Amino acid sequence: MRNFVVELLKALMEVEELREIVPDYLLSAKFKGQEQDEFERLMIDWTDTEYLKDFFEKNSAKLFSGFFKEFKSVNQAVLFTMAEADRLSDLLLSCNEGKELSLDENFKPYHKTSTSIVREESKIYGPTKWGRRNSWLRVYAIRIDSNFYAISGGSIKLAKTTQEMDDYQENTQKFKVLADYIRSKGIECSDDYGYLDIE
Amino acid sequence: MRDLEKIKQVNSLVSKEPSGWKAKAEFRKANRKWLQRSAEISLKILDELRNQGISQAELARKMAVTPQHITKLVKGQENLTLETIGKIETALNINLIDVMRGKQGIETGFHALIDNATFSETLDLENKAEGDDNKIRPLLAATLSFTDEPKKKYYE
Repeated sequence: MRNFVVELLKALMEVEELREIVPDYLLSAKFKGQEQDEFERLMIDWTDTEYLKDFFEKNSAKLFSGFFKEFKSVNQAVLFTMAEADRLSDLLLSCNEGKELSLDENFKPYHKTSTSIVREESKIYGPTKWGRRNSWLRVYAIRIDSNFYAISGGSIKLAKTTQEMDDYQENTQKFKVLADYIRSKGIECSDDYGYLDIE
Repeated sequence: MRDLEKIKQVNSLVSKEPSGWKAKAEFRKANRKWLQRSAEISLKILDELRNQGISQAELARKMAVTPQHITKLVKGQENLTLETIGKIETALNINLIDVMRGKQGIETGFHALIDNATFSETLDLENKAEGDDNKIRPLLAATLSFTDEPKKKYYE
């Protein structure tokens, strides 16, 4: 069943084009059928109170499981998310204005337990902390070269592990589709840039 | 060491269509303060809609605005006018803004007067207040913005 879902997702997903987020540093995939590229789509969702309130209400069991002790209400989670999205945007805006960007230092492996092959799968963590809380915003990207990445999607990570996330299959598939797209254009890829080590 | 040739190769694939992200981010940065307030207000509206069992379509009818207006409003992206805030407060029977109260504002007794005043009485109060405290005028303007109904619940 899982394989069927993965294949179906892959069949439905297709990269239409790449769009620039920070010149020479960061690109974003735009999938066919989507109005925006992935980064713009994420930023729209993450600054939309109605979307976020709905998301956190649907995921209230995870939000109030005890892991996120700082949050006493869905509304707090919404406002925190919006502030984090703004901070991430501000960081990338300042990079557009000439601030040096070291993405390599900010990207972390998609799977903590996996080996070197999954350097391809990375996520840029939110740039700030609220108290002692790391940002739960995840912008997934593929490493093309040193300090040069392409965004494939993103998520709000409330689960303890990436694999437990509701949109894990979808995001994993987006990695694959984007990697295939770049290769199909004759861009050389190292092993680091190869396949996903999902399990 | 960056592979500049590879970066150039990938860049040749990049669309001429810019990401809409940057313009939106610049807008949000330039308008952060009121956008934060708008988000807080939209959360309050969403809570009230749920608590009172009112649909967004029904709210649009009560406020005499389009459903599209309500859609923008609950997404926290709307630069709300005092008129719109007043309409929301009336439609949902809530208070969204509470300006200049407490130590930095006007004495509670003055609020009590306004709370029980009708439109004409409040106008009269505004005239009396003129010159007494320049903080009062914007408060009254907000109070008088859209209705001649008594303001009994405005400050609750």
